[in-house]
Amino acid sequence: MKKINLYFLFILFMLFGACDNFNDPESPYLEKYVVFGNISGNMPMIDDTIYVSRSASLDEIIDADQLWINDAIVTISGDGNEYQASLVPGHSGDIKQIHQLFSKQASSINFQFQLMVKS
Amino acid sequence: MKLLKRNSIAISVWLGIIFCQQSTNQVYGFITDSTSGEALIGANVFIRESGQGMATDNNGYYVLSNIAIQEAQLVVSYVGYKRYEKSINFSEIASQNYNIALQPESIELMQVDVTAEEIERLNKIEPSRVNLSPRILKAQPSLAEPDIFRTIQSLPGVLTTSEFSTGLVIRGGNTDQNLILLDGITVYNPSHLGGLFSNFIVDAVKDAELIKGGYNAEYGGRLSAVLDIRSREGNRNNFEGSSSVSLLSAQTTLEGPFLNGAWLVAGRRTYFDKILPLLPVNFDLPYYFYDLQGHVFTDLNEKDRISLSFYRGVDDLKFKDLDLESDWGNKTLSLSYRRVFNEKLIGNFLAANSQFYTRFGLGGDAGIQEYNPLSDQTLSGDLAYFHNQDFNVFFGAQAKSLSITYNSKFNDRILFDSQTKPFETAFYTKIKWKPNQRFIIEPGVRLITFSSHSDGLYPDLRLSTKFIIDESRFINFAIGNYHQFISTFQDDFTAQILDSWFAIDETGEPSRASQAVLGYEQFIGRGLKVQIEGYYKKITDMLTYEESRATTDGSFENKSLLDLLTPADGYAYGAELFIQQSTGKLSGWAGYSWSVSRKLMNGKEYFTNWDRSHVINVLANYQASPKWEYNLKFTLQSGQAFTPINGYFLQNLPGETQQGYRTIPATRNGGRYPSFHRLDLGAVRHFDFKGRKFDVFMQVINAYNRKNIFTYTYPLGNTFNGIDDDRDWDRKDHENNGNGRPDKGEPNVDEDDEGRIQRNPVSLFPIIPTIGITWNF
Repeated sequence: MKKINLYFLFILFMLFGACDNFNDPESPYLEKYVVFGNISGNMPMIDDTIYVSRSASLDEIIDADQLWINDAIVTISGDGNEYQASLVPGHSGDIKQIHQLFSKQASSINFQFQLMVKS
Repeated sequence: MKLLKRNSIAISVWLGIIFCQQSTNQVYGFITDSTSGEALIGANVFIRESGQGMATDNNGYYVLSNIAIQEAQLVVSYVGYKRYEKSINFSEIASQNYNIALQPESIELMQVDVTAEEIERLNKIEPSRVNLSPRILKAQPSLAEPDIFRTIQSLPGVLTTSEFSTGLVIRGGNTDQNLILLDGITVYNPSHLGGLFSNFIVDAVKDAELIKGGYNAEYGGRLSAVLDIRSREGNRNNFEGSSSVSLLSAQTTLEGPFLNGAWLVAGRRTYFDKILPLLPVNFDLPYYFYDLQGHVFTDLNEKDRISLSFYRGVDDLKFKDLDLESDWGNKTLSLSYRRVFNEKLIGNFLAANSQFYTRFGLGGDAGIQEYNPLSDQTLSGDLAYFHNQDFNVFFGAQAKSLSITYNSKFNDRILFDSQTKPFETAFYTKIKWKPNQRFIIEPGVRLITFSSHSDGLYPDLRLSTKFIIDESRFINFAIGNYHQFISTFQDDFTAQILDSWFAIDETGEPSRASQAVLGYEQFIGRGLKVQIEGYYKKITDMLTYEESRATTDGSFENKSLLDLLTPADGYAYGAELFIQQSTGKLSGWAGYSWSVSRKLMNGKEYFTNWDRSHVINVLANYQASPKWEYNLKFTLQSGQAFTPINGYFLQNLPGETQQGYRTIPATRNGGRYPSFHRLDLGAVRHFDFKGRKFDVFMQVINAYNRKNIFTYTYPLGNTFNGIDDDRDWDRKDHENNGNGRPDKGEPNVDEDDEGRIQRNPVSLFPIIPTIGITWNF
């Protein structure tokens, strides 16, 4: 009888103790805007490119091409100037491009992105 | 000098115990196999009248001292061999030497010697120990091609990181936390891809012991478990061999006499890379491996023996379509010397070299190239003093010189380049003490130094105890702390198929663990064993790769490890139930384990990659007749933890012509794969043709073709690539051209909703049948 009780206790222990008591924090999906910039430092901004899109959840039924944002206003400010990116001609509206020549004497330029998305 | 003075009394007592020999009755010697001359490890030697006895050690040596009676019956018992008995009279000679050769017995007639087993249980502490010698493998249910690792995977508390993995996860400890030894040499990668074969050819293995936790001071350098494997020595009387051929592999073992000893060589090579393309299965695996294992020894005289042991193995994987090339391998060579100083003191001394390397390339010369060679030169000495059956002392030392290189580059640009040459020393002592008939106590201490922390001395304290309730019921307890100075790269997001080793440097602390094991075991009737065991393990400073930098960041040359890796802590606990039947037509075991394995990094706690809450394993063998036997292995495991993906975003990097994207991970290891289960079946037909024995075996791995999920992939589809990205194409309903594949223009191909990422499960092993033949010559 003692032998059986010991194994029975083990099974009970497994049943009760095996419950998952861990409450790991969830990381739910949060939609975010994504900005990719391809800008070279200390170089004139010619054909430098900025991409603007948004993220999508795994379950969202949307074609990936529709994630690009074509009506964002993208400006770069620095060195006392502000430059607005323009849409790349020939594209469907997903790419912004900046065309600007800087003075050769400029040793460094700090960039700040300002992204405005039309609702 | 002060240290010496202070400890002079203790040293004197120690020396007195070792060298002061009473003139008592004793018997000693070696136990061997009568046909091959091989030493037998773990043979039970006892005095019938008094019950005092011991199991032979790794040398096959025994000594029974303080035998109070003048006329005694010496009994030797060993599974697979005929019981040996001899009458001894001590009236004229008190100390007598008997080297005994046991005669093998056919396995069908083999019975468990209950008396001998009882004596072994009363004298040996075995918390979390499992003996896996070939004699046990052959007596226990085994698959048609016996393999030590496949048997290990069916034990409670043992998992693999994935179905494709080469490593063992034992009680929540990572794969690099297990010490794998072959004839005393550390083997850094002990199994082949797929988890079906270990490096060790069973025909060349004499003994294998797995200690799942709470191991004592004779082992060190790892945090979790120990697998100690000894090679067979070879037949010192006759030349003989055996060969085996199947659809998966071919293997040969040859052995024979050499001077005053023997030699043995075993080799194996797989060829399913050639066979699988010919089978009607939609599965290809351009992978093969080979193993070459050997041992040679000779006795210089009655007291001295020298041995040479070697191993060479390579895994080769090449996916030409993916431009993936990878190979990795082990190479070991050791020279050992055994000296019997006197009846009670025996020493083993070793000089060994072990090398391991991994080489990985993806994308050709312009892609990723990684190379990680490791070299291990070891000198060690182990001494055992058998004072009497109630008091033994073990002590030894080890010096290990390592060289570890890790080189990673992308398109000729070096991403990571590190070379270290650490040096590790260890001194240990352990006592086995039986103060009365109820207790066996084994305290031990191991002192470690490591070159990158030269001002530190790292003590590992160990304790194992056994409480004997009666001759069939026992309580085992073990506790200890452990240090580890070399590890493999661990990535919580991506399962590692290849091991890349590194050593800690001055900036980091060694990994540490504390373990406690408590178990109860009971032997019921003839051959039934029930074991319940619980454990707790706490681990600190596991260096883990944390994906916190972009792939375009600068290289990590000559930087500290902490620039790339993050220290993490962890803990694991669980309980196991193990029921084993050793005798009868139906033999085998069933095991259940419940476990939790957690990690803590940067203040966040999460499940480890390999956490699986519940595991059930069944291994069974049925001896239907002298000619037929059947076996099965079944495993059912709850889903393994993984990090799910819950979103994605588009990414266009300079120079990329195709649309790129990146996935967004959810809670680290917060998801679970579906449950894993698999059934392997086998049948063996024994033949005897004109005195020659051979076996035909048939085996089916994954008998009901379960598609266990190895991982998920998240490809980005589109509506014009001619691929069924969301995998809803059905051959019966949508096929137009009869080729059995989805093609452009067919229904459910290039649908409007395919232009996004899809979650696709990836399974590895389909049903794999194999047939083969084994013969002896």
